[in-house]
Amino acid sequence: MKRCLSTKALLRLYTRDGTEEQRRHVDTCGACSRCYQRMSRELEAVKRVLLDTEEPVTAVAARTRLWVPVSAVATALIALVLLWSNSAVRSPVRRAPQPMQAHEAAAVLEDVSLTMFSIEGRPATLVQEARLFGSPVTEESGCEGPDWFASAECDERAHVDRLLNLFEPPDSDL
Amino acid sequence: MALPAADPTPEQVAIGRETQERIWRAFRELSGRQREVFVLRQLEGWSTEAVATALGLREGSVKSHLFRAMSHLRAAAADLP
Repeated sequence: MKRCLSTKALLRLYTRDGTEEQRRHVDTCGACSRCYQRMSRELEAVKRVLLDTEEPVTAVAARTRLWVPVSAVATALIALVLLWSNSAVRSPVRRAPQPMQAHEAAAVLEDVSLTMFSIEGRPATLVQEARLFGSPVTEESGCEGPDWFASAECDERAHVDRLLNLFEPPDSDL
Repeated sequence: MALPAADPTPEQVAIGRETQERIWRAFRELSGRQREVFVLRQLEGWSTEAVATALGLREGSVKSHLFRAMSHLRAAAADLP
């Protein structure tokens, strides 16, 4: 073999797939021998690096490693915001109570007043009207019983005495 | 009996970090099939026939994948002293 070997042929020799004739040529040809030695040195270095060193962390991998926790935090934040907005939409908006209008307040107070100052279940206003328009007080009712309270004809002194009697303890043998 | 050296060998020091990264990058750039063939044939020492049987390829395909892989990887280590 007179011609120098191609790179492919040299690689075949390196992987032990070459022929014996190619091997003899490399042994005798200075140029092919130098090429073969250089190729062998480079491929041995490749094997040494791949077998003996750790794969370096690339910039892309480092960025990916950085983005994993960042994206996890961002996802959690988005989920929280979605949950919050969802609950905010569903829950009724609590507005501040509107101030009561004057006529409403008057009506409420009137109801309260009627309830608190009713007499025998009848609104005091009716009793007052009865007083104003001269509702007759029967002789039987007089100042006895609850009717005395609505009667304008009762003696004022007796009126007070009866009131005081209400708060005195009943007579006892003690 | 020679003890394994803890420190990197002179060859490893000579290769340098930049070349190592270039070799690893070239290795990652190989196709999956090229990587399989290179690893089995060159790093694990399998025969061409065994690789072909394991991967379901013809021997000619194994040699072709191996040639492309070695050419690509060799270029990454081309600046060695």
